[in-house]
Amino acid sequence: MTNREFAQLLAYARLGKSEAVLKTEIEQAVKEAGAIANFACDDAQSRAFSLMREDQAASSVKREELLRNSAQAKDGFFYLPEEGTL
Amino acid sequence: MNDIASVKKAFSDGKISETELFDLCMKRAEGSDSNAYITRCAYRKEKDGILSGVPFAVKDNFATKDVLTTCASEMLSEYVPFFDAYAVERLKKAGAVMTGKTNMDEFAIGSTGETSFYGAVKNPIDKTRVAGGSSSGSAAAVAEGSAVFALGSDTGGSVRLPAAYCSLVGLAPTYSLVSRYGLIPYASSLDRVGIISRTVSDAAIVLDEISEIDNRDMSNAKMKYTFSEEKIKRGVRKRKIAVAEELFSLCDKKTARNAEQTLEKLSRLGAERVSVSLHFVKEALCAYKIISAIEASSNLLRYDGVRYGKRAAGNGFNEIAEKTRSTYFGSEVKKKILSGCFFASAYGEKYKNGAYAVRKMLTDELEGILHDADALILPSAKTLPPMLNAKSDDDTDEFMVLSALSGHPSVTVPSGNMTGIQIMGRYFAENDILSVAYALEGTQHGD
Repeated sequence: MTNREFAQLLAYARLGKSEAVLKTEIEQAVKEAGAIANFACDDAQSRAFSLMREDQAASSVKREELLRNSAQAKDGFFYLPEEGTL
Repeated sequence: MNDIASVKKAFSDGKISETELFDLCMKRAEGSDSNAYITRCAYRKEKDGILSGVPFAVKDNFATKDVLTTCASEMLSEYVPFFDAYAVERLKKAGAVMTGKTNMDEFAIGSTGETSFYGAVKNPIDKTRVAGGSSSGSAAAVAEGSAVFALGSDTGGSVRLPAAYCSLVGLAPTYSLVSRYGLIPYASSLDRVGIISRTVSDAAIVLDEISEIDNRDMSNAKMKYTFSEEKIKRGVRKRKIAVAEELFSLCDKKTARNAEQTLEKLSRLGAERVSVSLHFVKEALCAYKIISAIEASSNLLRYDGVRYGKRAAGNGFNEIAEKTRSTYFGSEVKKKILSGCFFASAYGEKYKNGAYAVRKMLTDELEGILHDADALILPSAKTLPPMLNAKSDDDTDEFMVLSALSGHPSVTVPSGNMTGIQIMGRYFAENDILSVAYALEGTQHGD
């Protein structure tokens, strides 16, 4: 990361120039993140990534899952909202 | 009087009054040097209910009406909310009495309890060690006996890790089961309201109280958990329990030995124990760091010296915001904001996409395991709590972030002195994991 890029980052984060001392630690955090930077590029992973993108449009809570758990629990253990309210 | 049932019995037997118990808790807090509290409260009961007179502590990132709420940050050192967070409101209505606001990592960013503006929290069991974080004070308060139970928030293990380090029960319910209304946000897709208690039953009783439907939190699942003693005590006989054996082999000898002795009880009780492998543990920690940083940088943007918190002098909005944030945020918070801004930017696109891909794959893997098994058991932490002031090991929450990313409910129970094991279960099936935890409760080993 160049000094100019880091200065842009500081401005974006609304932090003062005095925080430049943190540059090395941020670079280290980015370096460590590199372990998964290409994770979506592998074919199998890419498919999972696409599925994830599709899921983003829907609720993260699956109604089928709720119904399955609900069926296991007897005597009104869960309150299930009306269809479409999740 | 270690749990809610014994406290209520003591009240009904006339052995101690509610105010006497509260005073006893305050004395314990005053006599302890664990630094569990930022603010202590006077006795104040709103009404009678199922938790009448039961003292509880609240992490300082829950809004509390007329009581200082700092998030352990200088930024909010003068902030007094005019409303109660949903979970606090519910407990007060049930008759519980708040002992005070507990110390924590600043804005819940940390896993050792050492980044607070108000100083580090010491582990009440071994004062040379950390209590874990970020709900460090909540765990310390329960462990030192100044509260019967405590509220915490769990983003990447912040309830479960300190509970394990303080030999307590820590419950992080299914994501969105408990309303986050009034919980000051850290990473919104990960934040959960959690409970720290001495017993599994207490965690279930408190969850019953705080898991009502709340329309003020748009992410609230609008589901209700109901405590059932029968379901909690149903045992593990003939139930299929998956165990992530490989992860236990990564633990130090004492932690692994304690865990193994605890797990042996599963077989003795008639459970079917099956070994499973998890393939995204290292990547999950990396993904967690990226996602939590992105969301934290967004949530913390509101502290600009104008809308919330303290204000430093300056000319114009930009200068005020920069000076305010540089002056009143601690170093860890600034690092989280900066890395989050980087990952959220065009430069960080590939890291962000990778993190979301890992989150999806991990969730799918856990869903598969939990489709075939009633529960998944894994370690709470690899080692005993780190020593105070040691360079904190970021990996202490390595096993905690798995359920954080997937949103599955998870509970930690003690397996020995300052060690615990974690039990994860299906979405909204809290009684499943609590019943396994109940079966394993009280089997602490080693010293």
